[in-house]
Amino acid sequence: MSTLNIFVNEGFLPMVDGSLVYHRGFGERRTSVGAPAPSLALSPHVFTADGRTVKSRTYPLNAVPPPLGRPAPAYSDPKHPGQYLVRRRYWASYFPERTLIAEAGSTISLRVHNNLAKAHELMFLGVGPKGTNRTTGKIAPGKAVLLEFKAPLPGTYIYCDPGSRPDDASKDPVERTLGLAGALMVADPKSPWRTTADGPEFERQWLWICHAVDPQWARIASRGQTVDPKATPAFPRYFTLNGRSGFQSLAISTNEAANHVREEDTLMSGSARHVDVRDFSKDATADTARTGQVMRFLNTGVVHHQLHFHGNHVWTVSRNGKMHPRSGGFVGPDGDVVLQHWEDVVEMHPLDRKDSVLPLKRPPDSIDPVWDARTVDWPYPMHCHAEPSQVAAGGMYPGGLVGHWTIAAPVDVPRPPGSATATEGQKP
Amino acid sequence: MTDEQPLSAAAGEPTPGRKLLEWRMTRRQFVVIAGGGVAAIAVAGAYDLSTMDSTPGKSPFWMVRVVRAGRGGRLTASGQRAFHAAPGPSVFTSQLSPHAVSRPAGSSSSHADGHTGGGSDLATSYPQPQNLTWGDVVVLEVEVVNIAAVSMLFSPGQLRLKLANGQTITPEDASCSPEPIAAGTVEMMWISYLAPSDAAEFSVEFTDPQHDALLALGVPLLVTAKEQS
Repeated sequence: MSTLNIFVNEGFLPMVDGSLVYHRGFGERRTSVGAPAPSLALSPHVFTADGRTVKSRTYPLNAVPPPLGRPAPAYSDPKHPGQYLVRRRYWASYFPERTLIAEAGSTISLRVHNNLAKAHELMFLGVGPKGTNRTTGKIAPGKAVLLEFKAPLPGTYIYCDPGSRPDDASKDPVERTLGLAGALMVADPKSPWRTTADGPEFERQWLWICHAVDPQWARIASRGQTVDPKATPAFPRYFTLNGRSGFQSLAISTNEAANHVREEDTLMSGSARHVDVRDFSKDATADTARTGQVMRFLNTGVVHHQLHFHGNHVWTVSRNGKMHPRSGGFVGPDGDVVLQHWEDVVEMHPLDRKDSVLPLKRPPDSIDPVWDARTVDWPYPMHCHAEPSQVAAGGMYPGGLVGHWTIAAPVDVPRPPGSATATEGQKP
Repeated sequence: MTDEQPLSAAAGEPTPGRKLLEWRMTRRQFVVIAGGGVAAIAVAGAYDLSTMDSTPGKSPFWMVRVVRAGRGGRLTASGQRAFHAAPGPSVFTSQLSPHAVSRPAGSSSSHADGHTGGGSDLATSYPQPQNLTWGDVVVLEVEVVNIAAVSMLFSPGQLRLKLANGQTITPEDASCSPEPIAAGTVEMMWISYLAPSDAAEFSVEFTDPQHDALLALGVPLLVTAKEQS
């Protein structure tokens, strides 16, 4: 078993408008506050069941990374012209910065070094027995603490510095808003293409960390002062998806390398397929499944987000580690619908975790002449419907939480071996 | 040293929608010849266009100066982008005559919706977009000197164009990305902003959050650009 060293650092990061904003973060190396390139986020690492710690942006480790993040289909779908059969248990998934991945049965081993002038803490929320937390406890300046624990049940979890409220991390959002937060994804290596044992099978998965940056809180913290949310209520100016907002989030910046990473780990993409939400493991051939791509959403920020998808609804299957029922749904105490269902908007409360399936199906409003004539990618927006994010910095999403997903242009792949030609009445 | 070189990333590639302006020039670096401190600046490749230099803003860490400033229209009279290719510094050198921006007599504001630049009359007569977004472009040539002893991160977004009414404007584009500037190094760069047509007075704010400092910079005499169509 190898231990991952983590450093609690501080530094300044350029925002989408070029402003420099003070951040704190769990980094990979010790850097100072004035460092031109401070280490404020962890690259994805995988804690394997056999005791290794592997730095890798993709998982499963031995699976094929999809080119530019987009899985290619296996066959054209003989029953649904213009659509495709997608490979089962084949493609790896890319993960963004701040993601730790643990295989079921592994031990997560971290040595956390506090490089700052005040005490800090690294806490994994809900990973212990009965949903308890695992934490380093307060780490004094200049000190280091070893944190080890068994990987919890497969699912997605949040890690953060709980600040002044280690008893209830939801009560103090300051340190995580300043950047001391991230995601832990636990996968069963025996079924890595499912979210959980009873979760949906998927073609590939995506992990979205929603966040919000408050420059005023950052300025107070940069002076070594304590942020008091009562005296200075949160007023975020930047709303990020996997650390980026606005045009940078959409992979249309002049930084081609950053755009490339964005396509791989954030902007969903794939071929159109026929999906039956009653059974995401329904197969057409032994090596294909009629399923979509899983979205793991987390909100490490201080505000609510409302993730609104154009083109397709998403099928939400779980919240905070609990699978929604397929029948007998109800409205929970905070107004959330507890039922697997299609959602136009996925609401994300602070510290929420939700899993949804993006079906990548033919958009319902695309009529035959349009659908049959398509030759190029069809991108669809995803944007946060929460008003502060929509109008951040005055305008339409200059600093807002935005993204997009894409139905890939038609590709020339064969039908499955031995399949019949299109039935009468269907276009070839 | 050449004045202008195409950015390699720009050549032959699709133009993202946001890149209304794209400077085809490399950053020009001038090394401070230091003798016990900042003694002199060896300058090469100076532009032949003279304007009134503004007083630099100076902190213990940075010295920042707007060397020259230009102003043009986003659109042609037909509503197309004025700069169909990347406008370089030549737009404000070889094709222009420097003169102060003035308000044409009898003109009226094009920004009656409240998004004004602090003036009530047009300062320029460039075609304005139908969607009431700002139709003018202000371009600054900026000299940034790291006078600290260590390399420091610099971002063009630290410079915001300020209108007479106090509003500040985010850069629309720049010739460089956020990146470190080495100790004792002078960087020359271009930064562009959209601006309201009725704005006649500008200044610049330089924010240095790393040292919790704010510098006010003057803007030299604006020169105006003719459209390239």
